[in-house]
Amino acid sequence: MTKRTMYTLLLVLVTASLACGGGGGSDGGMTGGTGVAGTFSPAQANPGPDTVSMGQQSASGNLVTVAVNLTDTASVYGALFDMTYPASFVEYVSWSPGTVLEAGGQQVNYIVDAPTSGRLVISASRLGAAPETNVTGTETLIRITFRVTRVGSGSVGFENSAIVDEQLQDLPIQLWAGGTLGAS
Amino acid sequence: MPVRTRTLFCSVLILLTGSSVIFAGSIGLAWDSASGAAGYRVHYGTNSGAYTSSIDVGNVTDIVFSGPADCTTSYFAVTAYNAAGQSGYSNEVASWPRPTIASASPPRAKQGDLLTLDLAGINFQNGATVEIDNPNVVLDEVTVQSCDSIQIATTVEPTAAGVMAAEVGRFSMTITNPDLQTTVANQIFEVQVNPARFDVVRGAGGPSDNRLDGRDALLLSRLFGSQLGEAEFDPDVDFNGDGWVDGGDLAYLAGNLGKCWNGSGWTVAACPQGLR
Repeated sequence: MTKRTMYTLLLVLVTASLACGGGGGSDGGMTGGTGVAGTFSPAQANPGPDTVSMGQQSASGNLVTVAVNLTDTASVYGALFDMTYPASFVEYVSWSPGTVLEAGGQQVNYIVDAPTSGRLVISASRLGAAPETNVTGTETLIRITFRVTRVGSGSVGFENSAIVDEQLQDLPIQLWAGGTLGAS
Repeated sequence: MPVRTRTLFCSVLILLTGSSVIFAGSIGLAWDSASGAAGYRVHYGTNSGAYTSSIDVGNVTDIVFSGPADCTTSYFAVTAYNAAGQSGYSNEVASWPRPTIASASPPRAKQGDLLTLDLAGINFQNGATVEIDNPNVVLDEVTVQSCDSIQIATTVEPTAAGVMAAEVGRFSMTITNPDLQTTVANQIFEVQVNPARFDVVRGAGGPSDNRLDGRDALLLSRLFGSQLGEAEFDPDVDFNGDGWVDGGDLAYLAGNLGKCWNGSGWTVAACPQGLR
């Protein structure tokens, strides 16, 4: 096993473990059932080309999984953004990989940190000299699972965001569209 | 009846040795075997040519001589003996006991530090040389203060952008006296990563400056797998100085994204209000 390969494996472990620990608190098997139900409403339900948007991947009891999607974008190598959410009634639980960057069997480095409640700082990127990928239609970059803890409604949005090409130059994204997370 | 002639060697050549089995504070001696010798006697003293003591070491050709006075030159010569008598003295060798390093102070430093490193120990001779098994920890000037103290002006790289970083970890130091007696202090000095280096994308203004974020992580990801000697390798992102941009470097960022530099570490509290 080459050193490079060995470190790639290590990296997957490191990032996975950090991400799982980043949200704080146990999920209890990820079946929500505390009497509060969560839903996510996207701000842009029909995203056009060069759009990063959010959509509800799934909702089960108090757990809501939000997909961060990319639509019709060429030359994608990585993504970075802060994801803000209403910490007064929402907790971060976990993340899972999407399909955009894994296309072609590429290895991907994800870092999802939760430095403070209400904000996730996310980096997702191919590694090394891996080629760029072209997104046709709408595909998912990453999925984020939240838990709603009480009744409320608030926006989930992007800050400090960019989609970059192989040269780490920002691609001309037309719209970053979040949505609204509600609990009833 | 034939006369059995017992002959004795004209000379024995004695040498100082520095093998790893020689203990600190001792002196290693070895000599050529003498034909017909039944054994050897080592003579020693603190004045050249005036040997005040001797020991019969038996029929061996090397010993570790223990117990010489610290910071003092001892003089040695060997004679061989058999039933016919004793040879003349070998050549003489002179030596201090092997040096010993007891401690390094400070015992650790971080990348980018310029410091005075104090080595405490014994039997440090003027003119002693010091080495460390980390090529990017530069021992700029070695000064033997006394036989129990050495000061070293030390640079732990990198002290500028684009300079290869000292590898993090614990490293050994070797002292060699002018008489070639040498000692190794294993893992006596630790190099720590300098977290101020983690913010690799900066200077453009905006929130990425003084904040660890996805741009820093993406640069490391892009250079992932490059190694020292390759055109793409950038020493500024090889945080641990091992010559690779790899998971060991990315791991420093994981857990710190979203934090800002407060002058000594990465904290959320140091971020502008809008980023907390």
